[in-house]
Amino acid sequence: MDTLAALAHGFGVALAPANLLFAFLGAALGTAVGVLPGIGPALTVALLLPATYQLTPTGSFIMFAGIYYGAMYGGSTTSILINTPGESASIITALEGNRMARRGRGAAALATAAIGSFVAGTLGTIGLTFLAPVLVRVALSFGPAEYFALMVLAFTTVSAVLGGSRLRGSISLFLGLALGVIGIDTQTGQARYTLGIPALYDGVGVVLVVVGLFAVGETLYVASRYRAGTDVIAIRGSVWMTREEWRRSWKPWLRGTALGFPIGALPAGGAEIPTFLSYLVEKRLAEKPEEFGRGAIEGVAGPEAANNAAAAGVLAPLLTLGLPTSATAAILLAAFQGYGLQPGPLLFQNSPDLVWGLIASLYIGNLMLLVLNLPLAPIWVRLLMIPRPYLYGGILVFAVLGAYSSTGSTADVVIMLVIGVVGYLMRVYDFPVAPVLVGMILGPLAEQQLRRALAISQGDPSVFVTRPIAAGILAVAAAVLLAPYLLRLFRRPA
Amino acid sequence: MTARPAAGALAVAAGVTALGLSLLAGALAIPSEAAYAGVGPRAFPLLIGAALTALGVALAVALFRGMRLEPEAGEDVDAEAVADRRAMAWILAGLVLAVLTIERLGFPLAAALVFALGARGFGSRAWLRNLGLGLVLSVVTWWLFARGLGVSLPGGLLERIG
Repeated sequence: MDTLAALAHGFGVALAPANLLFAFLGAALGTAVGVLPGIGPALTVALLLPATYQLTPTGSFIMFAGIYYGAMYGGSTTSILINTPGESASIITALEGNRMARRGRGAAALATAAIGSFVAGTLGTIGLTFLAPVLVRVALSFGPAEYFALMVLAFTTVSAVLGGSRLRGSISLFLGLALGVIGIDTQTGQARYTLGIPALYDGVGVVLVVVGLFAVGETLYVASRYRAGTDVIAIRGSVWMTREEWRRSWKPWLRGTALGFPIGALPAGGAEIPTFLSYLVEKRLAEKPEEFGRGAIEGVAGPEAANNAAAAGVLAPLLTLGLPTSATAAILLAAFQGYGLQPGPLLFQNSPDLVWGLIASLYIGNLMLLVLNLPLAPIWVRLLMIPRPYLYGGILVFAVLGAYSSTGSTADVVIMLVIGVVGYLMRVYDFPVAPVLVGMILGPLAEQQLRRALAISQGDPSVFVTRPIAAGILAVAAAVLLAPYLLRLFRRPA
Repeated sequence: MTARPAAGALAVAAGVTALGLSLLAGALAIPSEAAYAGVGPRAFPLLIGAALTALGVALAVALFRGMRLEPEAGEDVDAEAVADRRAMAWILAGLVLAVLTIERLGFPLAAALVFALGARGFGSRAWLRNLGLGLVLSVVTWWLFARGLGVSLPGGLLERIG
């Protein structure tokens, strides 16, 4: 009952005309930028960050909610029509969706993706609404030791699970942790790794890292291996799905949601695993498994739903525990910090307007996106036709804008440039990028909790073993990290 | 059994190791006035430095055991192609020019240069048209962000006009 009252209050905030406008602007901008090839949700949020600098926290997070979901919708359009997944979670959508488009059923693929995203996004948001207060209650009993353990779990899962290689994932993670250490230590005032450069005293801004890695690094990568003449597949056929397509879509939507939300909401989280699982499940359950690989609608409906449900799920640990488990969530957390807000149980107590307004606007944004995406799909598709030299020229312009305006200093553009070159190398040698962001944002928080936990225990590290919840979480983290090696040990004798 | 690892990949492993070692060295330079209860500002950096050093070595070992670092293919890109250094140089040159000019000439002009040089990196040689397009884009964004949203962006000449 409390939850419903809080949600009703949130709708009161979100339905204020100004906030409705922010939600709409966010949804439209998020879709427009998310549609652009090579721009995933994380970069979309980072590039649009300057647009929210002057808004109130509530207004800007309502706008972020729209951008966040909008970028997901936009990304699936790109995957389906030109097979350029902007992020790893849309790779699966591209798999079947692009084949469908090549077979002349692009419109149906877009429709099942949009409606599936709406269904999953709405169900996921309902899940978030009721899960968040429960998590908040649990989180209130957590001390620094438990938080530290949770963060360690997030580190291990993000580096072990994202991307193909644990070794490379771990290197990315520690690279991020190293970036996070740069600056003045908040607890003792010591400068660390600032090399005497004033611009580094406040640390490296997260916008610089995102824009450097995703925009500059990606642009350099594409330019270095550019192959002109990508064909955009024109949408043919009715935008509406046939009765048969509806029949084949609704179960995958629900199954995708059932996979996506819980996995996304775990502190391990991420959207990659549920989308992949959903694909495998649909392939196994399909009436016509032979269609898989040649454009099966179930292979679009399920993973797209899983992707969006996971996006809603990821917000649960982010808002209630301050734990980001995807690149996009890491940027959202940084945006909160930019306003001096720390997501966590206290945020629900101190800023109910903001939190519940944000959650309510997720419902509203989702509905707006359905309307924006179904009938307007042909307009978004035009954005795909932008000639590549202009597209990437424009991305670079916005990268400079984002970097310069984050603190108003040229030094930040230089930092972005350096990180961009690193991003290029990471792309060439196939290192995952998300662990860098999670490590960079979560690292300083983990360090803080570690030092707090040890201060409370007067330097006795056994707190991490004697407190059952902390010990349990750390055991899971160790298991995630060591699982493949253990499995190999057991298999060897056989 | 395995071919020699590529020089570039080995260089990455060496780079990670070197970064780890320099972080370790840097960590030792952080004065640790043994803050309350043991863990000072130095512990975390030491841990990160040690981990990166170890991971760099592990990567080198994995490379010699046959691990390959290869990019995934995408639609706009040909992953097999030899890197086009000239294209990258155009883009980097544009960004360096932006660094040098943004405070003196303002965002609109600096961004127009970024746009035109970036477009050149993707093979477009219509300099005048690209500069013009870049200028239109950058003036509109400057106006929206600096005037409309109050973001701090130097306008250069535009600040005197309007």
